Amino acid sequence: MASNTSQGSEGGLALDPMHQFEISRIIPIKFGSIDASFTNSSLWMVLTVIAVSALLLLGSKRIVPTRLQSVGEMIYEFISNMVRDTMGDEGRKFFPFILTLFCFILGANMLGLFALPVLLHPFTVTSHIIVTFALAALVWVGATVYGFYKHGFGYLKLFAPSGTPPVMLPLLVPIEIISYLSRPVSLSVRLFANMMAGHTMLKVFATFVVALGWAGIVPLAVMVGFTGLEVLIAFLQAFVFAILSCMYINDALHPSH
Amino acid sequence: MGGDHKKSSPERLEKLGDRLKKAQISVDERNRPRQRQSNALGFAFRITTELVAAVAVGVAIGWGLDNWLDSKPWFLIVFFFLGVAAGVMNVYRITQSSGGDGSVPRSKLPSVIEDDDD
Repeated sequence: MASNTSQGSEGGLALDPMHQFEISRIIPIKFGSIDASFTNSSLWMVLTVIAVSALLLLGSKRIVPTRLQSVGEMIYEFISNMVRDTMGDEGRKFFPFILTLFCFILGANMLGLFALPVLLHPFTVTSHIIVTFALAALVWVGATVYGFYKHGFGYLKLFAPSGTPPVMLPLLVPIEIISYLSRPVSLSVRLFANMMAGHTMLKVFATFVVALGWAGIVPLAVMVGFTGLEVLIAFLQAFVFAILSCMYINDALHPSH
Repeated sequence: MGGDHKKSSPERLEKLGDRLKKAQISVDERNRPRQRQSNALGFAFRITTELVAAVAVGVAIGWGLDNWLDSKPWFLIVFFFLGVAAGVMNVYRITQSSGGDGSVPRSKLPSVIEDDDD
């Protein structure tokens, strides 16, 4: 299906696999020197929110669920269990946040895999590091602020694990701080790199389908498999992002580990 | 496990409960290997990024301090090694918390397929 997309967007054999990540302005908006245009990225964020909200809010509310309803219920239960298992009962108040985060990332990942080349050029919001970094920074800053709010300066104990000999502290504290600072980086880079690599790979194989003529059926078959793998990765990365957010917030709840 | 909204013939309900439990166990068993595999994939990605991110942050701090204090290249060298240490520690922590086979302890992984609603 992605082969259609690449053909539709450029035509010919010289396809640029990175073209799909380009940002284009749909409605240009400017505040002074700040470019706040409504771009294709914004459009797909809005579409993600609409799709996820429709799935979770507008679905039927029967006792015996329909298929779509049970998808929504499964997501809810899945995240609910995850929050309970990683953060305990105290983490309950973060459930709406984690559910929203998971649904947004999963929705964006999945929508990016759909190809609707005639109506809209598909765009994966999460394949841009600024988007994933904004999400990760939100989690990280939020968890840090909450940790200080809840424990005051006691939160700094996180950087000095209990049972460390005092001689080791000057070495260990900087290491712990770097480790703490690396959290939003690894969180965002992981999601972004996975989505971008996967989509680039799909595009590259799609060009093979076009270029090889009849033999193109081989890369086409590979692409079918890849698309399945991409669906798995889309889910897995949303899951990993959500569960790591849970763990970071858990550190803010209980700093001594 | 529900069943409290229908009080008719508790035996039948009990039987149904047993059958449900059995079915669930078999579904669990069927899903286990696949879950572990997909988990291992996430685990691999997680380890790599965790290691690289810590080194990157260390280098960034060192480079920034060097630029600020005009002390090239000493902070860069020091913080590079601190970053590597932090990365290794990140990875060590992950393996400690998960028992080594996945990003999450098995007991902590909520299963997608099994759902015990109404």
